[in-house]
Amino acid sequence: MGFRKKIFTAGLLLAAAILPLFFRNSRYTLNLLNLAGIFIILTYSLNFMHGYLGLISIGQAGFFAIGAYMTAGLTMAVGLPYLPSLFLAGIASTLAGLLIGFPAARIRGHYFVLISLGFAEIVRLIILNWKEVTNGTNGVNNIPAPAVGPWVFDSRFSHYYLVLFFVLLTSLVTLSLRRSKYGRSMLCLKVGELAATVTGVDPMRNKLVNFGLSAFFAGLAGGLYASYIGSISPEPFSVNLSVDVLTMLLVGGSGTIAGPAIGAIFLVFLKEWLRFMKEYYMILYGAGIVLVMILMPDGLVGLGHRIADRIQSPSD
Amino acid sequence: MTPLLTIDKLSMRFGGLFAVSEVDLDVHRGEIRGLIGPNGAGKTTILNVINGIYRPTSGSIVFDAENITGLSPHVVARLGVARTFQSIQVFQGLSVLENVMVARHLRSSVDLLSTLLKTRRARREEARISETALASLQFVGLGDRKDLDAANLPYGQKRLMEIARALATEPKLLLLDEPTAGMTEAESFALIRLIRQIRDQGMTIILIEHNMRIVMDLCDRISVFDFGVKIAEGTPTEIQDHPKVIGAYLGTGHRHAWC
Repeated sequence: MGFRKKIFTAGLLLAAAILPLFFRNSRYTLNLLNLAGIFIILTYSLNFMHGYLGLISIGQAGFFAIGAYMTAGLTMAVGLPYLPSLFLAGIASTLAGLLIGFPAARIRGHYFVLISLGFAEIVRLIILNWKEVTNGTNGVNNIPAPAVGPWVFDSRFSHYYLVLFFVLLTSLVTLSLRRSKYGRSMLCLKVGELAATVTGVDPMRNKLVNFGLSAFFAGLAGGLYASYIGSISPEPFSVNLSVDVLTMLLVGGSGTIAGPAIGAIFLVFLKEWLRFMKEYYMILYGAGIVLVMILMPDGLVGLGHRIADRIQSPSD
Repeated sequence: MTPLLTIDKLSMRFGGLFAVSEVDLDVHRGEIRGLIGPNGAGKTTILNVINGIYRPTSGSIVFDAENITGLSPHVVARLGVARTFQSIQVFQGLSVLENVMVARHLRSSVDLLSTLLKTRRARREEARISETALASLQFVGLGDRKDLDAANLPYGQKRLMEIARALATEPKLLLLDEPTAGMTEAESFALIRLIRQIRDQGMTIILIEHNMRIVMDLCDRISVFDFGVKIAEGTPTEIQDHPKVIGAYLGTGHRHAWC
């Protein structure tokens, strides 16, 4: 990493660390920051599949829901401490990812999208109807605030730092993957599966690793969401959520390290800014997304690169 | 000595069409074997079956004393068969070096967790992967191109990179599907020298090539195909005078006009 990049990264980390200090008295803004953080993790989770394998999933809500309900169940019904619960919830989500991964790894394009959609719907319907365990439409209430050792993250302010920790973890794993044999193998499968396999890349193994990672971090995001909001019901885990995540990824820039974070922050806040328009905001939101897809196929990150290139070579 | 590759009564049918029909082929260690024949003769199909891209309808393939019939491509690659394609396969978005590093993964054993945590063992192995990949690039003369996005290489260098990638898997058998297609005469000439150099290091090579001068010049033995059937086999001199070969290429009645 170059010196300028290091300075930039350090500055970014510092900014993220002191950001909530400016909003200590605004519970509203702190709420948005927490939600943005959770969505960043969720968008990174989709970035594994789309950025590394080129697969579009509209089923991230399924993994998110598994993570949320497992975290709630493990802390409340089983009585495990928070971090082990969160970790096990991630593992449960990973297992679900591997389970649908076996058939899905052989499939691409539209069919994969449909499988992911079907998976999330199945998860939602199970949650909705398995009332003995999930409490059906009433959902699970009074989920305890996360406690790690002596620290209790029971305020929006303190919870921000818990989310920030997991955002950093997720982005570090994403970066680490890019510079590893697994990441390289996945990128090769993405652009040329046949040539990759003939070169020795095992497609099934690498796709399962990918799905596992994606599901794990989506599950983590779900667990953070459950303990942050304090009560969960089947309603938010619908296909709308999955589509939101996909939008965040594509608007931010898939297959980049900054893209998922930028996309998630941008859309979480954009939705809030458009709130004054009441129900009409969906029209503008939708039109905006279509425009972004047409004008910036590589998302905001791609746009940034183009502007930077323009500045460096103004003669073009 | 037993052949490195023994293909026995290999047939490959697509729907009602036999692309390859009852083909026998023995390829010995250290030889350059040419596969020639008109378009649609089944040459590329044979390579695809050896690779495991297609599962043959019938017949068997024994490679290095191991039956590889119907194995998956990545398993066949691990056993020592490497390949370049008629239409060059570049992993775009990855650097030239990374394109070749992928070929080293099959000799790497570090697990996922160590890889993501970047343990010392993982970092050391990553360094080794990078070094051997670079050596492979330098061998084909692309050492100074390693950091370029592979998609930006000129056509001829993409082919060289593809060969470097194939060699980096440390194969025992190298399959080259029309390596000189689309190359300038100078590039072809350099490539032929490179192929010879590879063979001199002990590699066995199967080569599909349409340029007869190259085939006759380079190959130790040649197998000729027409409509999925092997119609002749022998040294370049034997093949040049083979009436069936001339018939397949020019229709019967012509002699020698083609070489």
